[in-house]
Amino acid sequence: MSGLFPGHATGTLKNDGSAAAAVFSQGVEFGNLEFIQYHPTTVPVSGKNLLISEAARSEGGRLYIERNGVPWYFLEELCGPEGNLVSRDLAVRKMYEVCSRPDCRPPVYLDMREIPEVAWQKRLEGIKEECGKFLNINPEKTPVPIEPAVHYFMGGILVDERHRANKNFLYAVGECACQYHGANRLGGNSMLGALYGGKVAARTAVEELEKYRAAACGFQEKGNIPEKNFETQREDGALRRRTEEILSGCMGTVREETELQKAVRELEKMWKREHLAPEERNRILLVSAMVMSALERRESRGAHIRSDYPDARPEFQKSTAAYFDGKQVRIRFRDIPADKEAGNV
Amino acid sequence: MRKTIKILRQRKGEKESFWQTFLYESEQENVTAAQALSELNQRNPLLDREGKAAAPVQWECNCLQGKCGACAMLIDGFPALACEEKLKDHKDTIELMPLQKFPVIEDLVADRRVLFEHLKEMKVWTEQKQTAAPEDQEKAFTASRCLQCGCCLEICTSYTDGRDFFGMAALVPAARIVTVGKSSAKKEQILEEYRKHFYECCDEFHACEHVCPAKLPLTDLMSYMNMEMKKAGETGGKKDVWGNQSGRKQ
Ligand code: SF4
Ligand code: SF4
Ligand code: FES
Repeated sequence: MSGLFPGHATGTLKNDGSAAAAVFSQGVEFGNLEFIQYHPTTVPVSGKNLLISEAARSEGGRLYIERNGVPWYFLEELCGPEGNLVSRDLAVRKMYEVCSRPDCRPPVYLDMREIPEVAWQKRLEGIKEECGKFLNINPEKTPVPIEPAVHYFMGGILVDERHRANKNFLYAVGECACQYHGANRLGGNSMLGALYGGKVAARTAVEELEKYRAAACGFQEKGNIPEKNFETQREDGALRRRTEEILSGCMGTVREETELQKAVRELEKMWKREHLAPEERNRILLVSAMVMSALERRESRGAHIRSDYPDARPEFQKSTAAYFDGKQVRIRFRDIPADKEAGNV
Repeated sequence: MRKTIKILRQRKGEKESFWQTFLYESEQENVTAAQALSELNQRNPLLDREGKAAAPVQWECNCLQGKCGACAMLIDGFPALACEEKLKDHKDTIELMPLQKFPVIEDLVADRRVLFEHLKEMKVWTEQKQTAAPEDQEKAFTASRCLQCGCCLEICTSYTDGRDFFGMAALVPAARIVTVGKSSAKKEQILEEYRKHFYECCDEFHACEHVCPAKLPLTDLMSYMNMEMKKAGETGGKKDVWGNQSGRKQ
């Protein structure tokens, strides 16, 4: 779904969110859409954000902002001497706080000047090369201006432990699925979703093949989609840009009730417009579901930070589930299934 | 910076191609070909140098970080990644063409599915979980870095339609399997495929290594494969491939 945040995400540009939006519009249930991981150390390049791996911080990279004209290594002061090693969500939260202070001047910088030579040679060669190639910066000598960007969606198509969605014969794996991560994701755990999940889903699909042959699958054929001409392309483009603005306005690192409500109302109006390309209508639905999930979760937990509800609340220790009932998007809270042994893998 | 960008265009489903020229200007110094293409496509309306309305330029792009190979195209005649190629390293007029060794789908988008067909034909996969020995891990990692971009095939003097000779884009992933398939039947099978689809046709001028955007040590990987093939022959593999094989150009 990173394509819903073009220019603000580290993911591929091939993803424009349409596939997820298409299945959502057909009643497939999506979970935890509000949990979006922002990565603290990224740099905007044309069309997307370049990721500077966490390895930079773990090898000695430090974050600072200019406060009253001098560099302030805020994580070390606010989170203790090991502050530069805090989790992504905490780093992002602190970046947001210092950037809003009147005595500080954004951007935040990633200072890698103290990283030892051997770490550059052995483990960070890639980072050095990318900074040189795409940013024209030698990170050994010059701090890199950074900003948080959308990096991973913990939510997605809700699947059971055998990777089945709520519609027959639809299986979801990897980042598009909601199964393993909850409110946050640890680096490397997306491999779990892709490799283990892939194996399980493939096995389930093979097991259900006979059933599939016997039954007709519940999805609508797409039918003929009219060829787009320049004009409709441009109109759709304008609409797309507006949904992007709405999302970056209310679904940033820190969220708040009135902004979210305003967004829901505007999206509803957009969705009701006539002459909307089916793809665009679907995208608006999915975007609405995302915003509504964030609205309903009136607490802060993991990657979902609300300025008006700054603490985690036990009554929200649940997953959100969003679906489209044919008329409107609905959100409910689902209990998190108790631990049980996964299918026979 | 001011540049004139000439693009060889082709409409979807049509055979004829035509040149279209655009004027491009930027305040920035480090603009890549990819960035220029995105900016052209954001223009509303997009006009060519003669002021005629033009359809957005179709080109493939995915990671914008030189990691996926999608944006490979001919830039001033050389295969390169548009997201890495800086306009300032080129003359005032820059020519963009789709890769020519593959069928063109539209504008700068080429159909490179043959690359995957080659891997399928050679069965470039392991049948079970296998790990590289510690001493082979660096090689295994290197061999896993191929982007499947096709730049090496574009420049290659031996690669034509991909029917017999599969080129470097197949050698590199095949080498990855050889690093983990120690003395197994799998390794023998891959080496046999290698002999058929690479060894007997490569002319060893190494143009491929010069253009590989991932800067893979292609010559080293080739000699590694040759060495493994020779070893397999000596230790009683199915064929003594190093011996009197026919077809070897030299
Ligand atoms: S050495 Fe020459 S013939 Fe062999 S793969 Fe490279 S470019 Fe092609
Ligand atoms: S060997 Fe290099 S040029 Fe050839 S496909 Fe792989 S990355 Fe591209
Ligand atoms: S867009 Fe991925 S290599 Fe250029």
